[in-house]
Amino acid sequence: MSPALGRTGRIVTLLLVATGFAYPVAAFAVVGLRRDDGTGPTGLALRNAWDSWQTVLRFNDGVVLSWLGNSLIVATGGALVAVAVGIPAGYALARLRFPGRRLLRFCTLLTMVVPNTVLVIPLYLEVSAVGAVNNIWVVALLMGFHPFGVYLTYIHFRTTLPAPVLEAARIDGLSETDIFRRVALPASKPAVALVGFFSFVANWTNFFLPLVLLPLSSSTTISVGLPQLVSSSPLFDPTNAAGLDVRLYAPQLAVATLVTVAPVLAVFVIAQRALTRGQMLGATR
Amino acid sequence: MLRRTGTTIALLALIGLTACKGPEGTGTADDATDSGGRITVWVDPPRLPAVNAFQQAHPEIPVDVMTINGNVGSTELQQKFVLFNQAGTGWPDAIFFPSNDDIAWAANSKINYVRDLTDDLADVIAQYAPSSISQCRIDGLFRCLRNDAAPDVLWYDKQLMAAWGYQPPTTWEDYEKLSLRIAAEHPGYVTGFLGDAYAPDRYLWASGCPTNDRLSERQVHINLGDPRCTRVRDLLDHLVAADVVSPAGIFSPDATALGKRLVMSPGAVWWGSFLFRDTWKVPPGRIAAAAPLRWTADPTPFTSSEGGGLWGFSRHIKGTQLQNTLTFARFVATDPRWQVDLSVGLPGVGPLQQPWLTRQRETGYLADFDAAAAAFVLASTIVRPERDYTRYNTGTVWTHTVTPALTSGRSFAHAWTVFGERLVGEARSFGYTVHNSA
Amino acid sequence: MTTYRSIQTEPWTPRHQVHPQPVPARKVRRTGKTGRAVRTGRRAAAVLVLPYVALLLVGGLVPAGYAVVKSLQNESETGFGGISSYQRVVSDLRFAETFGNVALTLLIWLPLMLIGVVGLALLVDASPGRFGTTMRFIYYLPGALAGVANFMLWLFLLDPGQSPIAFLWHGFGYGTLNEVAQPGNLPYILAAMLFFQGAGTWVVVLSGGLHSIPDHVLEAARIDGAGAWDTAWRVKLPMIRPWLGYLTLLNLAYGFQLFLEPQVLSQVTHGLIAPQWTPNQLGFSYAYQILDTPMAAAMSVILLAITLGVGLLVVRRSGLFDDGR
Repeated sequence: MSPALGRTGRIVTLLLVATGFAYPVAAFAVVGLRRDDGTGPTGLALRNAWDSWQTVLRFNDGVVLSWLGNSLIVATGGALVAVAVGIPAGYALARLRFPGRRLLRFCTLLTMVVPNTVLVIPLYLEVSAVGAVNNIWVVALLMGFHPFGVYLTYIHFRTTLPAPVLEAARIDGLSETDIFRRVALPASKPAVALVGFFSFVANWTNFFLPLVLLPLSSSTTISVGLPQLVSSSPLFDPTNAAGLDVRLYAPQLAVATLVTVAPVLAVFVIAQRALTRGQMLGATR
Repeated sequence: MLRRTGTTIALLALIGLTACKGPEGTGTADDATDSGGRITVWVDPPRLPAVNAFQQAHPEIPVDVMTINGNVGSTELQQKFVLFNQAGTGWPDAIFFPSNDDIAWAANSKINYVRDLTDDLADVIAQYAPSSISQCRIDGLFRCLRNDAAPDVLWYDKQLMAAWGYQPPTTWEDYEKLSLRIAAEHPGYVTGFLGDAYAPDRYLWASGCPTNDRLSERQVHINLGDPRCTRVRDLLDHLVAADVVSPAGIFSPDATALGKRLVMSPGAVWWGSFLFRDTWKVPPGRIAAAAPLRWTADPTPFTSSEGGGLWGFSRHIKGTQLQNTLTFARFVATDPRWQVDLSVGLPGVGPLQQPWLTRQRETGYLADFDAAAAAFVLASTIVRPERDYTRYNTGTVWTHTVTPALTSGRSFAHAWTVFGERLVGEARSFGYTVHNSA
Repeated sequence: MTTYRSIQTEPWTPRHQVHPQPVPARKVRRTGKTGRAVRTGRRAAAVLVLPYVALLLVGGLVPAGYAVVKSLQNESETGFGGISSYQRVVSDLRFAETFGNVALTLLIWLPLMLIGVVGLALLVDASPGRFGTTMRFIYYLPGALAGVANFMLWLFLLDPGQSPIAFLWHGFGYGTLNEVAQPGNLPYILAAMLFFQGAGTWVVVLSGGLHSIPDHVLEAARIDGAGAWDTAWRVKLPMIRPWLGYLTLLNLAYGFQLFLEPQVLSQVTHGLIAPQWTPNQLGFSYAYQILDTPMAAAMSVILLAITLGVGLLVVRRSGLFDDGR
């Protein structure tokens, strides 16, 4: 195989695959700009997206806004807890010696690689045993358990905080908590951004936990809500058109989805600089 | 009419004797509370007008309404009730069940939400034809009210039938013969839909095939080897082989185009306006309804029913809240301001059926309205009683066994075997002991 | 505890001085320092780690343990039931079926993922400059549509009446959503969905791994006369092998958490797909539909055992987490 041929083949392959990834996303965004009141999508204008959004808002008296609000609470709350709890823990794991450290590190790794949904039914059993189902703060707290964030912080402090600096601080007579506050914390900004970002995105897109722990449709999150929009759409059940006054067709569903993605993109942009530096950490979830 | 009332009274007397002492805790629950008057009502969108009409008729009763949605086989609603039971609060006072099977869990001892209405609403229950209310009678107690009767009749396209020189069939045997003729003479036209969760109701229930013969809370009789099952199996096998029934379901978007090519089909009373007129947009004056098909071998004619909503009322209330809820119950079941003026389905209670039909005549959609009206009324009195709503969902089992098999072009016989195995399997996983004696 | 509270409020206060000032009040005694340092170190570690340990207990270990306890109860939850709940779960005819479904999906998805991601990462790595980074970004793009959003996108892709790739479905002879999404096709559809959503992230991860291969190693290979193909196969691939094991095992475990996609597809196809298509859906049905808590617990324990087994392999054998000093 000649190098020129290989080069062309490589570029063509990459471009073809890129089309395969980008085309559906672009086509989906375009659906959001169209108009449909049951006769098939027509037109292409930003105005249509706005109208569609108004229709979505009328669904069940604006329940979509409650869903978005609830998502914001659990995603932000969970991210704050994950940062507040995960940064100190990650630091301690990386830089302090204490009994049980290896066990804790092991448990962290294990809970990190086990898919989180397998713990949802057990969590439900636990939470319902103490009668706290349908409590949004409980969900936010549980989402704050983010072993991946602890591991990220652990890696961060192992790789970026030189041991001599810590040693110097110790010799200077700082207590270990002071060292964390005055040496480690100021150096932890990238880790905070990473943990915050990954935790927020994981919480925002989490479907199973809110489905099980927030069963009332007004108190659930947008990821549980979106499928409810789908099942009320005449698109997949034409008889819905006869019963419902708010009719959601393809453009309305697409706009609702794009609105749902917006916060994730926003956080992505905010955290981007830290992310590009941190992607070597094996950011996978 | 008189005879039916007579049988109702006789039946009620019988129930009165046996049901004085029902199973533990089906009346008012120990933890019942009284709001002092305000009631909470959960309905699906088509039933919202019922609540509005009630509020106009009873402005003195404050009502909170919540709109619910649910697909057949969806667990959303049940999930909420599990939560309410845990929390000891949150139940609605009245609910329109999005799916009729919901009554099975709502009355089950684990959730035990719906109250026994046998005594409190005896006068309302007496207005139903026994066959219309029999699915609400659970272990001898009436635990729900029927909103609308949804018995199956025979729907047909009068213009096509006339143009092609066919007579609408009166027996299942004729239905098969005519279907096969249509398959041969007019390929592309259909005489039935097999892909939706109501299909087993339309065909199996109508024949008396024991799929949901509930013996008690944990015992059920299922036997697909019963001759009343095998005759339907053979019928459908022939129709599928002839490609004259569609593997699509009535609610599927694909059915919209097919609906216009439907020559005839067994189907519920609500098909008329809900499917033919509003969803499939078949022009007026074409669709007609005839009496339900019967099996020649059966001594008396029977039919089945597809949906037709059920109302349930809470056990967890007492005092004024309970009284107001019962007022609501009476209203939605028997008041013409809802049942005649607004409801899209044939009223479940007998006395309102004629007034409702009179109003329907005015819309002028059906061809030969009088024949259809007679078919509706007859059908609502001959629904087979020995078919209950169970916690396993026969319709869902059907849609994920028979429907995909037919969609991918497999034979009906194969689909039938899988359906039978799954049905028994699901009944068992819900904790039923399955009896399969003939 | 007070110390911890102060930590909680601290992280957002930027500190300009990285090197702390000596604290004059506390004179350091060099003699006997070790014992005391270890003790204060322990106390500090306890303070720093305790909230996390609490969450680990509440969010991981306690529910897992509680599920084990619950699963050993009898059906009416009144006493010890031994393994009867496990017997009920295993004898459910859907039990084996749901695992079969997941196995089939994994069988298609894992090779697709492995070959696709490695191939793309190698190609991207061989494309220097802006072109490579742009491609990598595009592959990452669908990852932003995570979870439900990705599913919504696919709903449109799958419905021949809406889809921008309808030509593909017509090519297969499918005209309706129910024909596309029939149960036999579901493993392929899920594999495609998951690849679409996850491939980009892994390309980024593997690119990072490839990028960290020292230049002199590649230079040496080139001097030895290795072509691009040889270099990729003999030098680059072995260097990122730990990542490949990690990718495979993590995605293997991921297969057992499938829930959303088959669940909503079942709804929009009016039950064409079994409502309990994956083990997770079945467990959910035990908890909320069949209302048999011990069965739900038993199903969770089974899933936990499987995924923990896979997880142990990842942690112990993949070679990525081996610095446990």
